[in-house]
Amino acid sequence: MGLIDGHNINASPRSIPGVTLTSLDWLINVARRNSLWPLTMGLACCAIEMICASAARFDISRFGMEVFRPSPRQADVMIVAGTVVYKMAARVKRIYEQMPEPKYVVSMGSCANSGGIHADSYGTLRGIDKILPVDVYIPGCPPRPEALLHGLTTLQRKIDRQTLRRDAPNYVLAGHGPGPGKLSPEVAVELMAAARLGIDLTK
Amino acid sequence: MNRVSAQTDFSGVFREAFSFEHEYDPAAQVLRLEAEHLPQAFKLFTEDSRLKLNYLRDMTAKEGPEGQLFTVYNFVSLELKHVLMVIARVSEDLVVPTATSHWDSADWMEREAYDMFGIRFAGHPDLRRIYLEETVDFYPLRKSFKLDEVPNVGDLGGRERELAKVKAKEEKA
Amino acid sequence: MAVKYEQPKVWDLRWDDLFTEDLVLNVGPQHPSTHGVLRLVVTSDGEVIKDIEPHLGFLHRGMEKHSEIKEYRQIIPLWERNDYLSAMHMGYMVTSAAESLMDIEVPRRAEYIRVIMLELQRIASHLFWFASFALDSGAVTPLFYALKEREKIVDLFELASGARLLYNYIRPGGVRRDIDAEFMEGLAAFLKHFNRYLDECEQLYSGNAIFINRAKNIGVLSREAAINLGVSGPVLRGSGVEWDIRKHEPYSIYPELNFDIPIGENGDVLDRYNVRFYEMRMAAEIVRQAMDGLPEGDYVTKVPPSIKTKQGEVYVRQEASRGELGCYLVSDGGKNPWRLHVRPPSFLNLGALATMCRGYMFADLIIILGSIDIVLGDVDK
Repeated sequence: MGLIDGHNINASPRSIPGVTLTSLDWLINVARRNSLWPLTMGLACCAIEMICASAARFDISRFGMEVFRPSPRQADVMIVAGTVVYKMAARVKRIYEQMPEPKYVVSMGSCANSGGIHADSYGTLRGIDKILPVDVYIPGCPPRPEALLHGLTTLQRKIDRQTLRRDAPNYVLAGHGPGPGKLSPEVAVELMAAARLGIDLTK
Repeated sequence: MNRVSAQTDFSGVFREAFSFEHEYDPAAQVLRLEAEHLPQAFKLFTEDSRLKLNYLRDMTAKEGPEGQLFTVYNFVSLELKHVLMVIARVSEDLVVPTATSHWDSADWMEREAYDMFGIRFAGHPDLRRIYLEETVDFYPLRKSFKLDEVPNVGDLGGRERELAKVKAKEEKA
Repeated sequence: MAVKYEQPKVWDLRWDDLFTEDLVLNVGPQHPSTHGVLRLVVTSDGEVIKDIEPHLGFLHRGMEKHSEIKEYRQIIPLWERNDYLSAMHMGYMVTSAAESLMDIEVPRRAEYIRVIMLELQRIASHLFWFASFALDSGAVTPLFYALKEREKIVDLFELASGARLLYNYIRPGGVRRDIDAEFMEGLAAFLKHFNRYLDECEQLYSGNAIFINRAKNIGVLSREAAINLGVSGPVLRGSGVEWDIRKHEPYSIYPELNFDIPIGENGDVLDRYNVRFYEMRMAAEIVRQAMDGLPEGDYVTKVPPSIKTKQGEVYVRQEASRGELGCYLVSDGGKNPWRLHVRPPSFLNLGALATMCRGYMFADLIIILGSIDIVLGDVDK
């Protein structure tokens, strides 16, 4: 039933029908998790499974996520589905920076997690987490649509745990601010490899 | 694998038309020649009524065991239903005459050969890299460009060595 | 006191005195309708397109170089990620290239199973094309219709090979696993309703006046230009050229099967659309014939765990869903290919985009790109 009925987890035992007692965190989290708008960052084969997840059989719409927005300004979650090569990585980073807060990144498939089957190749970025902060990793090559839905419900559970208190570790904007000053060596090596191919990933 | 309907023997055609040295294998339908004689060959392919090779289906390059480069062309005649593969040895200066004056499909395929091997095509309207960025300095498909073999998932091979170097530099600093 | 009203000078200007310049618009790598990561730099005079320059390489994974350090069985799943909507065709491509340099005989049952899988893959790929083509033109419903039917095919693939999209099923020597009675029942049930289902799709979309206006005489590619540009597949046949590798350079058991190939007249979007629908019906017909004629026997001949091919070079080609898929393999007698070059169908089909779009408008660009049916993994290797 709806929120107004009083059938919610935070309701006190003596709830009055039509009145809900809850916390602002819970309310905002429920609003955020039930209408995540994904950004179409479908790059390769995993994009096909993403499209199949939004079709009638697996129906991503029952989670509120059927609204795939092509524009980053209107999207909440960026599902990076497919191999990211250095040439595309600069654009992915730029599009990530254009998304408004709060934003989430889901890395779908082996290629976005770690480079996958193409990790040996000269042009592939070994994992999107080298340049973006990732919230959920979905393994698979390609992951089944059910796996994608499992990953997205995991993201929903992560959103449930977030709070608006600024000093808390699960602050909704934690992890997306200006990061540590020095890059880890793995990331530095990736930036060097990308620079050799003429792509500047630092911008 | 593929059964071609008309396997014509062109040895006579080539012997009378070509003044240069060439090798022709009628069973495999492969013609080998030097790259500098390609314009004459292309002219013959399009104009001769016994050949009529109007469809360039594939054009690529390969490197031999001693490092010499070859460009490989695959032609089809859609009317007479026969095929021909031409393997041209590239000269030392890596310049090959272009095929774009006869077949437009050579346009992008020659750009790809330039991108991957560094072979320049004389007379190409717009010779740029097609897959990699313009500023890249290496040609990936040359045998001299070594790709790190990653023996297992946990071992990053060459990149691990670079990582160790970066770490050592940081430790010093 | 009336003030003399001076006509503003702008009304005196003639239209050819106005300074205009061409618009250069970037249809970026991230775009809902470019079927992947393709960048088009479009130069247009207002709405009318003057030139298009595609920029490629946003999915260039270096598979040709990668193939030189891996063995033949390891590169089958690698190349399947090339054209991910026709993974069976890609697997068959690597397999047939390796087999043509090996001394083995593939059993007839394996060939029949391969043809069933290849044609089912063609139907699945064309269904996905139909879904995205209709979505590009603004119609959302065909996506659900087409993907519903595609799920049935994908279920069959999952029964046979274990995977939905990238199968690693066609191996040198035959296929990986035999197909069982459950697969045959599912296949029979699928084929029973498929033609009627295609009629339903045509009724939904093909007769729509808006679609006909957007597709007829749009994106015309003449016969000479099609041959010169090296396009293949439904794009070539839609322009009136009778060339299908299954008929004219046959492989596997295609000479024994009975089917015809559709040829278009004008070379416009509507012709390519109709060619693909007819191909889907023909593919269902081929699957029915192969299913009826499926012989008993082995599904694979034994090959050693590490495949060594003879020294030599070969160019094998097949008719994949998008066009001619060719593989040029040079082998030095070892376990790894010395040089493996793949001729992707979408690469040259995309090269014809500029010729097809000159003089048409932006909205036509999206429809024409949809009608060529490219997959960016295929273009960028």
